[in-house]
Amino acid sequence: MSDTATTGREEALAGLTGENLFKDPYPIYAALRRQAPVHQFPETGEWLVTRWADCRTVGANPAVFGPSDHPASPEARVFGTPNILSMDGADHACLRQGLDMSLQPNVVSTYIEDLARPIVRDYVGQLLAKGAADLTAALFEPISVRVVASILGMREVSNATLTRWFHALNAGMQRPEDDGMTLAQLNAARSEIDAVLRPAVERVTAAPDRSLLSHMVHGGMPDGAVRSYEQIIPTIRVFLLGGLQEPGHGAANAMLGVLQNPDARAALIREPESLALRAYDEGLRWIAPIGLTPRLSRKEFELDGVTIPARAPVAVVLASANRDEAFYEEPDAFRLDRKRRQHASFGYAPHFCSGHALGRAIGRISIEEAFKSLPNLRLDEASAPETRGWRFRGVTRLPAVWDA
Amino acid sequence: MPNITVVMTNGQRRQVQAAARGSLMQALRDAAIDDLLAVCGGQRSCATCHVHFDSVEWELLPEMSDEENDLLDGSSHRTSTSRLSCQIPFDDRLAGAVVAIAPLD
Ligand code: HEM
Repeated sequence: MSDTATTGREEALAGLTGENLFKDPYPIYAALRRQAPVHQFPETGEWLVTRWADCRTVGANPAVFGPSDHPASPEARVFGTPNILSMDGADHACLRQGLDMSLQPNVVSTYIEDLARPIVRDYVGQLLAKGAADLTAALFEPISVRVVASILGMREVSNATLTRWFHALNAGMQRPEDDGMTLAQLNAARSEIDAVLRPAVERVTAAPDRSLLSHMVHGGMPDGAVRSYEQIIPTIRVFLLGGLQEPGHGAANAMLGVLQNPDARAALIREPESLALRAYDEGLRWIAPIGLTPRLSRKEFELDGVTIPARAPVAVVLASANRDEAFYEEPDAFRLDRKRRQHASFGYAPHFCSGHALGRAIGRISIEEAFKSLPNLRLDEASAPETRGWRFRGVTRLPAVWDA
Repeated sequence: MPNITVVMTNGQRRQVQAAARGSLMQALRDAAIDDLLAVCGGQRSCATCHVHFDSVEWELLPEMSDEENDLLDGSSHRTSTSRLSCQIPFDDRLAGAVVAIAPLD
């Protein structure tokens, strides 16, 4: 980590480019927190809010900072609107009630062991004899995709297909609108998704069950009323992009933190069961898989002496809040022995992540089983891990070895 | 539905009555007590709906889960009367209670 204590405001802002953020946003965020905690980023026009307390002020204040629902935004283009992230007020609360019926902590705990543990054991088992693997691609991503796809009622769809859909949605999010190739792939993926999900939604519309899809159709609605396929497909696309991928990135981020840190690694080898969740939570804090969450100001608002105008896009930089030295000791270090404190990686009510309990359970079981079954698990010294991104950030390559 | 007294972080007092069934957290949010952030929206996943019960029949409240206990441990404002208000149903057991919003960490 570079020493930014002496960096002046000018210098802090000179480093602020999309390219630098993509490589390693943390030194830039540290400089922004100190020198320009509320700052409009010229490349995107967004107001970056980087301090812990300010992120909370903006994120958890829906009366002033509403959801970002601009029809030309990448989210609107890829997901379609209205979706759960773009919705507001009573409509949001009503659909959210449906999602929560499958995803609230006390519900997740009734099914997660039976669902996730066998999937995790299966993937770990397949690796065991190999002695080496990229844990992101061979373990954490496929586990996350399989578990969340099952919950979405897409058990029969292969990982290859789900991953292809995910990449098409992701590319649509990152690339400019006039890229014909990306758009064609995006539309192809959307039709394939429709072909699988439309019949599934028709089934649960006629015969409600306890699945997430069924709760999306019926949950929170007055007796007899249902949501149509068109009303829920934008939200299903949110799940396909965020839900499938993020728990896996969280696990990879946490695993890197543990494996780089000899004390933490020794502790996990000793006590995988009791420490896996703590490691996962600290990993989420250390590298937030979703680096920022967007809001739109409804009116002018003053923060740290800066006036954010009305109708301005504001980026609540969760990744930076999580490293604020005013809130955490040694924020850049991955530490298992931290006193438990909240982190910002799941955002803020009313949009606080619906999948947080599920994501944490998937992460806990993945890390626990990896340490239980892969003896002497350690980083592969011959091959460096790779971490990148700022809007979404993850350990995209995590080469590891163990005693086979 | 009972009437309770809420002490805000600035010391001001307010009477609150619940409009609908739900948790104490929900009643406080519905009463527009913005001091109480409740960033996870009542899912027992943060500690920003932390309150102190200054007066209540303590043993009438539902027992504290390990998870709630653990979350409260993360707060520097924890006292022997701390609870997460999302874990407390707003019902007659709260009649006459005085509830102080804990400062944010
Ligand atoms: C552990 C990894 C995950 C992380 C880090 C994460 C992070 C986030 C963040 C930052 C938000 C936006 C919050 C805001 O704007 O304030 C969000 C929203 C959401 N997440 Fe997650 N998420 C994860 C896993 C999941 C999973 C597994 C699912 C579903 C199965 C999911 C479903 C959703 C939904 C539906 C929303 C929208 C909630 C709303 O607008 O009310 N997430 N998530």
